[in-house]
Amino acid sequence: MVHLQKIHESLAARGVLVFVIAMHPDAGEARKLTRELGVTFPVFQGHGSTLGDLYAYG
Amino acid sequence: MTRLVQPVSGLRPRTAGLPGLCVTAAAFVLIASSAAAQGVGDRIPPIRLKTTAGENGRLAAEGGALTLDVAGKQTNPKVLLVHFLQPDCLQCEAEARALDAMTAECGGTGAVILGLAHRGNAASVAAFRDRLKLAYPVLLLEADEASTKLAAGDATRIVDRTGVIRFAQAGFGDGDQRTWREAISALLDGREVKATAPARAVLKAGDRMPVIELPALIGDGKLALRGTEGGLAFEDTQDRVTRPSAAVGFFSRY
Repeated sequence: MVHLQKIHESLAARGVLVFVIAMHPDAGEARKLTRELGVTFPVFQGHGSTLGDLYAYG
Repeated sequence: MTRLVQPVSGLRPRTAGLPGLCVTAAAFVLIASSAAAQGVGDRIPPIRLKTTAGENGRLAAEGGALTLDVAGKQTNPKVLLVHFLQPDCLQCEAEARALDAMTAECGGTGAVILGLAHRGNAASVAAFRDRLKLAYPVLLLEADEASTKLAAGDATRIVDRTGVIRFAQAGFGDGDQRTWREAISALLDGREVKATAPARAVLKAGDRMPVIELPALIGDGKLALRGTEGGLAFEDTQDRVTRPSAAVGFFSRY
C-alpha cells in the first residue's frame, strides 16, 4: 500500500489511476489501516464480492 | 465436529499474496499463481524437503503407498493435503490460518496437512510458521524439476494414500475449507472425490478487464472502473467520470 501510494503520487499527474480492491474481511479494520497508511487513491470494498471471489487469489 | 487431519507425529510444528492487477488502457493482466503442471489424476513425483532446522526430508509415492519421511521419521498418510506456499505471500498466510484451524479438528484420522515453502529460506519460513503459531509442519521444498511441476504461487493439492492427486486448486478464497473437508472425508471413507476446486478466473494479456463496480471503502457510494473501446473510465462516489491514461491496481488483504 505504501509503495502504491508513492506510485500514485508520482504518476497521478500523468493520468495514471492507482487503486486497490480491499479484501480484508473486516471493513472497519481495512478503513482504519487505509487511513493510517495515508492512502489517498481510490479503494474499492471487494470482500464478499463476486469479483473478489473470481480474481482475488494468490 | 469431525476430526480430519492430524499433525505429523514427531515433527515440530512448522509454519505459511495477493494477486495484483495491472491495468493499461483497456486491458489488464492478473498477476496470480500459474497453474501447476501436475493436477488431478497425476501421481505426485518424489520431492525433496528440508526442515527449517536443515534436516532432510522426502515425499514420494512408492510401492503403492504415499510416504512422508522427515528427519528419519516416516509416516504413511491416508490423505495428505499439501499447501505450496511462499512465506511473504499474504494469500498463503490466509490459507495457512484456515489450514491450521482444520488441523485441530482433524487429528487421529490418518489425514495430514503439510506446508511446503517453495520460496524463502529457513529463517523466513520459520518466522512465518512461528508468527502464525501453526500446528502443522511447514517445510522447505528443494527446487528441482519435480518440485517445479507442483509448486507455483499459492497452490493446494490433496493426495490419496497411493500418492495420486485427487484435488487441486490455485489460490485461496474464504470458504475453501468446506471443499477441502469434503475431499478429505471422501478419501478417508474410500469414496470418489466429487469436490472440485472453486471457479477462479484467469486474465491474460489482451483480455478486456472486467467492470469493477463496488462500494467505496471510505465514504459513501460506489466506485467504478470500466474498460471500454474508448479507453478506461473511472467514476468516483460523486458520479464524476475521469478517463485515466492507465491504471494499476491490486487486491489487498492488508
